[in-house]
Amino acid sequence: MATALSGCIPLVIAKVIDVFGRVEGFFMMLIIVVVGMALKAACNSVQMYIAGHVLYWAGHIGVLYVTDIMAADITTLKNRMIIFTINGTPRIASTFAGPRIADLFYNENSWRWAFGAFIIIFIGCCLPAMVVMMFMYRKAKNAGLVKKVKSDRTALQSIWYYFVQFDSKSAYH
Amino acid sequence: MALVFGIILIMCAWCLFVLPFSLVAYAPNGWKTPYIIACIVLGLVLFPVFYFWEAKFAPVQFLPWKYLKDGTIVGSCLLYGVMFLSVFCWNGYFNSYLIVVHRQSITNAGYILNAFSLTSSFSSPFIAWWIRYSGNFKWTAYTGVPIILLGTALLIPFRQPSTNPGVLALTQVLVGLGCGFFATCAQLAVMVPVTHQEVAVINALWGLFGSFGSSIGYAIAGAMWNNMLPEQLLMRLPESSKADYRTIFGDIEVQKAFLDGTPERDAVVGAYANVQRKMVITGACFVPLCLASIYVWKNVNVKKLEKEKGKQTKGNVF
Repeated sequence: MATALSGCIPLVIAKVIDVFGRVEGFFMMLIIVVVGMALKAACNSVQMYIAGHVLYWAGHIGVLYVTDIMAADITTLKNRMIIFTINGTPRIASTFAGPRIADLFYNENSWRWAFGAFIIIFIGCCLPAMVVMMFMYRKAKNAGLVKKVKSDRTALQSIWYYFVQFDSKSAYH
Repeated sequence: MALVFGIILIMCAWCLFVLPFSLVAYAPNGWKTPYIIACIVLGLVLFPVFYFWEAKFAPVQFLPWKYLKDGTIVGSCLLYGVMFLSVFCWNGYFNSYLIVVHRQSITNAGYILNAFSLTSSFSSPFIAWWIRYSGNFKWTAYTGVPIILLGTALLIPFRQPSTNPGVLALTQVLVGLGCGFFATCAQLAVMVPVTHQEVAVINALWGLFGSFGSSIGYAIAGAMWNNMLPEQLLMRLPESSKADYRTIFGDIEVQKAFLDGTPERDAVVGAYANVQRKMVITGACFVPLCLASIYVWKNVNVKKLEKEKGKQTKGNVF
């Protein structure tokens, strides 16, 4: 289930980040991960755990995917794979550290706090990236690269606008 | 909404079709159990339904079909899928094989298995550097084929209990290195023919093939393991313990507990070795498909491409 989901999620996110923007997409995925982990930490039944896990996994895949796309945005074809693969190297540390940390949490603390702690760690690790993204966005805005189109749409019209955008974008792809 | 409907359709089709292969061993009547048959039939029927929905009715298409006509894109998507297919044909049950036949501890078995992902993450930056240096990714991808074939096929002679675990780790390193070559080159290949605007969606499509490949691989492994191992155990166990073959199959602790030299131990090792051999052969059979999917790539030199056509991305880039 999780593997089938992880395959389909990026296709949806690809559309989301094309319409809304990379930073917004990253932020959305972050929220989904946090909600998923919070559900897992608080779960009292298997169903709730599965719901949490599906959300968490969708967000997890999404965050990885958005960072990959951002890396693709800022590199040339020749150098792109270097950045992509360096992006993957933290796995070397996590293969060794992961099971040990899991063991420690299981024996010294509770599994609920294992999820709880990682909510905090995850947000803490994403914050610097978010700050850099916002900073660069402001810099681009000040340099006049981003043109803010003033919209006269009401909230309802906006929703309709994005709905149509999604469809036309997807139809284009 | 149309998008969500398509996603739900393809996911249901996929899960319904793949799940029965691993569930069948626990079903009361094996393949004849009604819900197993229902799952497979329903799963199979949903695939054409999905296709018709996408082709005829969907206002918005979920899969970007137009990319699936380019040889390089199809080839690298297939390569990524087949790579996982080949590896997960045997990798899923390698852990219990190491624990039972080679009497490795759970931690050690984990280390041996992780040698695979470690090698691929460690080696891929160097492969990426080589692509930057040479600009050629098609022949770099070809290099992975013999490595992955060697890593998979070496498991056939090495599936005796007497084999040194270090040798088994070496096969994992080889497979990991091969996968590093494949994944790095394929991801670059998929991005070469498209423009910058299309990079996001083409990467998503590429990932979709990977996850399809790994779930088919797991299904094949599950089907072989759950159907062949009980049979083999029943055939090899001595008369006195034939009645318990279900318990022996289901419990790894029971399998581990038999002492060396007892006929039960021989039976378990024999059954594991037999099934593992078939799984590894299946995995190795998929490697030629990798070769074929690299063959359809256009041989583009990334360095020359950038000199001639300019860079894909503009602005302050690395």
